[in-house]
Amino acid sequence: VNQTGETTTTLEKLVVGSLGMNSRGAVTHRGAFDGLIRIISISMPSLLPAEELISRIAQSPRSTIIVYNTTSEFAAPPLVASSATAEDIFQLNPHLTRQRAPNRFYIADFETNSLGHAKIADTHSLARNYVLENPTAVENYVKRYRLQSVLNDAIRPLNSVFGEGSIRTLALITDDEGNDDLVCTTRFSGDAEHALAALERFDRDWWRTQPRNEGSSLVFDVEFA
Amino acid sequence: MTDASEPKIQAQIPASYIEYTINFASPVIKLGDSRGGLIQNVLEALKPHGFSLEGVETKLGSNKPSEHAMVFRRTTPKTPGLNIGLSYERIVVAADNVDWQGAPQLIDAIGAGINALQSELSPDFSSQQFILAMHVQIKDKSIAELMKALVTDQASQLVAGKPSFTGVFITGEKLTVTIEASVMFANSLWVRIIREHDPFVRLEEIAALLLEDEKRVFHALNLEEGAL
Repeated sequence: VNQTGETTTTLEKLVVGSLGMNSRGAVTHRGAFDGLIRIISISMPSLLPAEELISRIAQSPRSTIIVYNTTSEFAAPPLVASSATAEDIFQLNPHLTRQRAPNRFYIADFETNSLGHAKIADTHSLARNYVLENPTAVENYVKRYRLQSVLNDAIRPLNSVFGEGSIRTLALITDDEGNDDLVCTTRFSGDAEHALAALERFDRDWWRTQPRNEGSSLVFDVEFA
Repeated sequence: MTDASEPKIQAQIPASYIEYTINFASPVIKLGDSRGGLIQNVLEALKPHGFSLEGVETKLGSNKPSEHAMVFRRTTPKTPGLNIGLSYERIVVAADNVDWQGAPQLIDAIGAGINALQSELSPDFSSQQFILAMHVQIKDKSIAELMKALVTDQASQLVAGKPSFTGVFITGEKLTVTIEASVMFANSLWVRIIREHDPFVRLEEIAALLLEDEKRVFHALNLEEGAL
């Protein structure tokens, strides 16, 4: 059982990113891979030219990663080089829209054999980056006010001021008048003075520069561990 | 080792999966020759549990018999998913987001499917394996900090610099527990409990053992399941 719950070993579909690309459906991670994977299921991928496959994934608004397997019958020959990079893909197909996901394209090299060790996730999912309190309410609010993008973008500056390992939670708080605030709280293990200084730095250097989505209320806060 | 006086850390399970495999002593090849009757009889047994013809898939196109399979997917409700798969060599049951409250119904459904397959095929079981895999999320402590209790400082020297996360892989008698960092959920562990069972152990007994195993893992990590 891998981290997405894939348990099947018979594949009639290509799960791009789950690494289950051969007929036995199992995969072992091989080689350097510093990204995580968006899972997209496409029926009968062998019928799709590689460029079309890439194009479909690139056009998905939340696409992140394409994995090609060096041994898979599904991989098109020009793209199977293990040293392939995002640039190689763009050179092969200059019509791909770079601006759509400029930093989300990765190529990794995998050898099929065991689903159990695959590291699979959508790097841009809320749940992966924030601990969600009452996930349904939070996700609905994020969707309603289109906050996914700003929350994705906030991760880098939050990590920069509070540290990579800091825990971030997202909670929807309703005030006495019935107004909702989406509150992102970072748990900080330093002292109060440093925590507040870090929050001020985040606010000044990044948060104030961001456009606001009308009607939404997103608040960044800090709590001391 | 956790301190009994230490308050438990609240944890939630945003996603979990089970996989239950029954291996046959030798392949039961008659599956391919009698699939019409098999589907009908197994579906009849599974009908009260939400299965229908819509959810049946036969995978018999390969030239290799070892790749042939038949899958019964629950269609009502469709989610959380529950599938019962049959190949010539094993039965594999997979389900998503199962909780202990729903365990009796799940056991009934799986039991009905397996009994129907058994009466159709009469396979000899050689072994059974049950895997529970779950993402366990906490918010009051970092998972790296949580794992420190289970891994020695010496293990940290296996990597240059400060480790960002340490995992655990422990095998006991017929039981393996693995704990890694989740890549699906923030500040979460990816925990797998894998237990081998003798061929004739009943599903109810398997479930009881699983509950004990799960409780033990939570206790070792000083976790308590609840809302965050």
